[in-house]
Amino acid sequence: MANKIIQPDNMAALLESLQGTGKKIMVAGGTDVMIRMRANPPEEALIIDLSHMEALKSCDINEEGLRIGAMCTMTELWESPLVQHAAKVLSCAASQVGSTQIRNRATIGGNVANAAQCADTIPALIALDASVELMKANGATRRMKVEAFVTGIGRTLIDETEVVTAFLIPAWNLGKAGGYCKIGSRASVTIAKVNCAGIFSFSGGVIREARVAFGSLGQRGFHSSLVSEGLTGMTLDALKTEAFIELFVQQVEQAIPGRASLAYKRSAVKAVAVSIVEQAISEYRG
Amino acid sequence: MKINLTINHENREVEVEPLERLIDMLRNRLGLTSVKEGCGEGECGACTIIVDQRAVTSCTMLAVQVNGCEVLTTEGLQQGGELDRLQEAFINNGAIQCGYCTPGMLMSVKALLLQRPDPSKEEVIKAIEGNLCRCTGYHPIIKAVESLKEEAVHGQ
Repeated sequence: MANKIIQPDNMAALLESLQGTGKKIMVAGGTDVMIRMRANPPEEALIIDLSHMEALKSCDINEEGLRIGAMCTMTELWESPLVQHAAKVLSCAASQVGSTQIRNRATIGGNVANAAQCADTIPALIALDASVELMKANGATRRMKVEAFVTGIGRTLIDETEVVTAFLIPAWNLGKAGGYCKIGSRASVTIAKVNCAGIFSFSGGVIREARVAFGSLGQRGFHSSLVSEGLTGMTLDALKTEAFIELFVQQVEQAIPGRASLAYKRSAVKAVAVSIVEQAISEYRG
Repeated sequence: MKINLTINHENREVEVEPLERLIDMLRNRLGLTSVKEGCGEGECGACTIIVDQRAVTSCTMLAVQVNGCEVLTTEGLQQGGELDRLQEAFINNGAIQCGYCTPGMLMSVKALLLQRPDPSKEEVIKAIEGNLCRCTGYHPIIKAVESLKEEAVHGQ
């Protein structure tokens, strides 16, 4: 038996391709899955190339919030004035994925479905409390939080008969000050050793609400209650003392106790903490 | 699967295998051997080409994905037997050493110039962040692109 390929260019054709019980492999931008398929070639799979699915490439705002099509590329998330304004932290994270060539192909749906522990967009989506929308062959959709959807390295709660169609960022988290930072082994085109995203509401010089999420600390990205709650109520003056950095260090120690990388990461996260808070404060001050 | 594309300004119909990579189609079916394979993982940029005005690594794409697209490789830069100004600039500035990274470098910079005809030095550096030069000849490459600006200023 040989592999087959299908290239749907509309929702009806895509849903039809989801029917049937055989092995299916979704190809979005291809930047991760192509490498995997080359190392482990499938034998009797149906390859579903999503690159011509224009219906999954739009971004728009409605009363629920910001809806981002799963096939939006990292370049589009970075260049889109809408995403830059409404979800700057995500736009920033997208701008730091791989190289120009990779960002021109890699998609947000692919980045999340691939579920690498160091994925750039996952902490940003978790900080924004975003949901993923999945569609079944019969057209029915379900949603769940990105944080729940990604269960481990390369593992998610997607069914064989589903496709990722969109991400939804709730209206109340749009337009908030925020920051994204990653530390890797070189300045650009790098894989995160620690990455972190945060969104903040300020008023009267005080952090009223914070949502901070981490990646590359263990198997999956997660929201840090420890850091989010610890930062809430802090004044801009308190942030100058850099005592807040200890919260980030504590979170790293809690997430990867005893790991060989702990010594490095507990130190590296200090720069991450400063960068995120500085980005957020500079946005708050405009 | 049969696909149609515009390759270096020419319409072509090509029959490709389901798992065939774009780089393999370009090299083996279309004979466009300027497209080099380095790492095969989208890290080195040697296989960079332009698809619909954007630089991409052809080793991380399926051949079928360029169905209906406009594809440009280094072979398509010349016009009527004349090298592109960018190619001339590479030659004049010693921006080619062993030459293996050159086609990818040219296509990354060309894609930038298509978006921004007058890029800053920082934009040039950003555009080639995904292209590795093992001879480490980055400075002459950046100088070559900068020289296009000087040419424009001096009206040559």
